[in-house]
Amino acid sequence: MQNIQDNEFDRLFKDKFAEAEITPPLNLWDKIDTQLSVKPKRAFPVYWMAAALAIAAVSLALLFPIQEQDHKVSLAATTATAPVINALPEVAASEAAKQKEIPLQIVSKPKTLKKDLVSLQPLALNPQPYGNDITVKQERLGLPMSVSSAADTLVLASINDIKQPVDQVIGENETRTENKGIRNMGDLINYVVDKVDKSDEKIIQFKTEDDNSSLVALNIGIIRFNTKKHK
Amino acid sequence: MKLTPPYTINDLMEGCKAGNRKMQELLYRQTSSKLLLVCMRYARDRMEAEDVLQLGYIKIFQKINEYRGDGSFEGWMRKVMVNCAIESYRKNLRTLNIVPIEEGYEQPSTGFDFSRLGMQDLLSLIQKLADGYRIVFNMYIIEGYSHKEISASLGISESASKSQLSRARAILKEEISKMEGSNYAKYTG
Repeated sequence: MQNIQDNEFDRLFKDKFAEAEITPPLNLWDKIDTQLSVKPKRAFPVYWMAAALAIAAVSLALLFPIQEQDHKVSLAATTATAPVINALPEVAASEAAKQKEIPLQIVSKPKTLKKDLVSLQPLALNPQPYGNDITVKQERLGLPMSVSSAADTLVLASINDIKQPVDQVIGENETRTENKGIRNMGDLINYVVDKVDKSDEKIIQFKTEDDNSSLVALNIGIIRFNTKKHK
Repeated sequence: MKLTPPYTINDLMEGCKAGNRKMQELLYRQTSSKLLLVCMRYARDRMEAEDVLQLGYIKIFQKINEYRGDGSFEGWMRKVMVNCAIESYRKNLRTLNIVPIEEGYEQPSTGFDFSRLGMQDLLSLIQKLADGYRIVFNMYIIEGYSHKEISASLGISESASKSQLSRARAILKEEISKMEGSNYAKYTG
């Protein structure tokens, strides 16, 4: 045997197995049949996680309604500047127009108009400087017609000047929103979902700008909605 | 196995592609005996072989749409089965106790010559080989894989594949010599 050529040896083996068979046990097909009927598991239990999150959110909201109220108060304080921030330029303009003090003060110094417009912004936010101009205002109150016409153009001009600072304020607010951390249940769920679900359309998403954590997007297979298409 | 005359293997294959359970069963009935032997050669024992067979058929039915008709369908099935066997081998690699080849051997019965060695005898010899030897021997000698293919699917070097093969061959020759005893000398003249 030791002397037999490798090729011949290999061929002898191969031939022996070529047509041979071994009958499997009778019940083996049943096992395969059963296994074929079992649907393959999802790699990640998305539906279960979505359901669990939804239940957790609802039950926590029901369990801690008072705590949510507390949040409201503290949040109101932190977002106090929100109306000003979100106000569109037109709104700001109309509000500015209502403040008679501003045009009055400008009219009092028509020759240095540009500079005064720039200085308007801090004036509008901070009432203190008006103290010096009180006498001027009182003098000019007797001439309403010329004041209002001048005020219209001035207000238009001031809108452009105001825009820039307003944008800055919005920018500040956005960064603050990002850094606000997990303040409520919606934040928590968004955070967890974001960690697990990297797709654009999250399986569940809450709006947390206000403290109410309203549901804005849901994407669970057949159930799918999105109240907020991204800006 | 009983064949079902109205269906050719290709009919069965098409039926399986459509997910027809009856066709799947017929394909199994027609091919499982052959494929069980394939599994037996790769596995250490019959139990492991049957597990691999079961897993292999599930794979075959799941992946049947990947068969594009290049090569015979039976050859494709066999390839899937061999891959399953290798997978099982690799999965068990760490848990296996490799028994030295000399241990546990029955004394060969006298009066063999090579022509009288049955398939069962050779099978039990192969099954007694250490796992690495057995897999390489099967892949190279019986299935006809190249050393390159073997090294790729087992994650070993080509030279390791070659040395395992020649070691396996040497062990088998020695074992067969033992079984044949003095009769072999007469047989080869």
